[in-house]
Amino acid sequence: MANVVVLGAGFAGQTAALYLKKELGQEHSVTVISGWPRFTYIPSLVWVGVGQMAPEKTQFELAPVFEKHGIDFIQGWAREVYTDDQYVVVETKDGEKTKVQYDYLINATGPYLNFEGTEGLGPDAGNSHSICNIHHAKLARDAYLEQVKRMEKGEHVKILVGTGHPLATCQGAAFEYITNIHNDLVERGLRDKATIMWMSNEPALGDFGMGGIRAKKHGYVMKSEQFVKSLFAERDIQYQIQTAVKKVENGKVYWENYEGEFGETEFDFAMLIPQFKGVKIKYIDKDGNDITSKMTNPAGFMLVDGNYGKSWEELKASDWPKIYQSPHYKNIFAAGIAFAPVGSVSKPHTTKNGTVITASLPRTGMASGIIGKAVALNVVDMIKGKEPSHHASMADMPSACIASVGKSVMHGAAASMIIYPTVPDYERFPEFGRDLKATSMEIGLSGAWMKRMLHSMFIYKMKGNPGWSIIPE
Amino acid sequence: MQKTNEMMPTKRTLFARQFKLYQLFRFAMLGLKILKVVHFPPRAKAN
Repeated sequence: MANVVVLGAGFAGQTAALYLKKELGQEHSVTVISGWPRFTYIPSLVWVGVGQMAPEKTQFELAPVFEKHGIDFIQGWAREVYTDDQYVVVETKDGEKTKVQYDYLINATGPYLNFEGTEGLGPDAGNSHSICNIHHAKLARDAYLEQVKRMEKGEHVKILVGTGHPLATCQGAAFEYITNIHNDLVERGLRDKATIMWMSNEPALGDFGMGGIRAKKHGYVMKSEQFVKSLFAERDIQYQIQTAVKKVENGKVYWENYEGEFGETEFDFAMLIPQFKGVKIKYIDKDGNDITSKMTNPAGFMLVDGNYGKSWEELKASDWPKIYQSPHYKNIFAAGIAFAPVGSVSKPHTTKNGTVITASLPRTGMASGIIGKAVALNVVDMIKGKEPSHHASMADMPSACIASVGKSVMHGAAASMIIYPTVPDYERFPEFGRDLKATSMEIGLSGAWMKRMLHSMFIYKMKGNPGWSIIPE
Repeated sequence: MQKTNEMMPTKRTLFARQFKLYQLFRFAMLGLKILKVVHFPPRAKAN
């Protein structure tokens, strides 16, 4: 009997655990270790952050779901992994430490939100907000609604949304948030009372950390830059790109741009996405040596089967990980945000002052789910005595990004972007790196319906309800 | 901070984005497109 341990219960962890149990049955044990007792559907936090969705509608309790499927669940944080002795040290919420043995380990811990990477950034410092987890989204909502009250009294406020670190990712979530704020203020009749500003580390508007998107539209090959410019023009949103936020104070951000110029921008309310790092787990070998630097990259993401160490210019699609197996320990895998990407897709830039500004590649729920499934099936392969055979390279994976620009099912809208492949492959698609027949961009009410449908469908799937595996990741 | 007035949508585009019958058709097309790219991703060289 094999014992498979999954660290994390987000998109990747939950998907992996459900597939493992489905394939392995009662013969083998599957244990999920997560610090949070609930699953959160992160893509809908943009609506929680403007008060248009109750937080509880984005969550469900994990324990009953796991019980129903025969999956063991331990609520606690994985602190250390003893890679040779094959056990994880878990710290429970009471501060007790326990050992959990494994035969196979899947690290699907998601991101560590590195607010410390930017001085003064984040809700704990009290200067800016985030919508990266449910707690932060609730705080962002409360702070935003306070500004709404000021506007109702006739005051004018400045709202700043974007990225809070030179290497931040998830520009898409910030984009959804800024357009939902616009929509919310329009619905409240307060749009003229706010200046809405976008500040990001993207090389161009609409880059989204994916190097931008191109799609055929009205007889032209259109860039996502034009698409987002159009959206911002229509919504009277000001923007500043190619910018690294260096420091946040109460009501002010200090930044540096591509030209190496420094400046500051004032705000009344700011939602700035922090840098993502790997969750801090210590890896220890049989001699008691700390081998974390061997197992992870400097940002703490776990190294897998990618070709690491190449420059942006040298990177090819074939360098991206395929099976997500640790090169050092064949029974350890990483899935979702926990694996180390081989590099960025967006072109990095170094200013004359030495600041590296790069929009890091986002790993969405779809990518995390696809990788979680592939990793689970690879573990099943190994348990059955075979080599891992399931590939899920981001250079051979589609992305469907439905970015809400208004929640209402009657008057809302969403920018729907279908991209193939997620990481451009210039060998297969020499001109633009992506298949223009499969890639598309459009905006309309249909996207708002799709976004709502995906919310319900994925929560249904993540609960492991009947037919869950038919729903694609 | 910059402002842009590039590619402002026309009244026809704004109408189409909210016209329920047309959007129902777009919704079906969008769903099919997503399912197609998920289940049958392109294999050969394209463009």
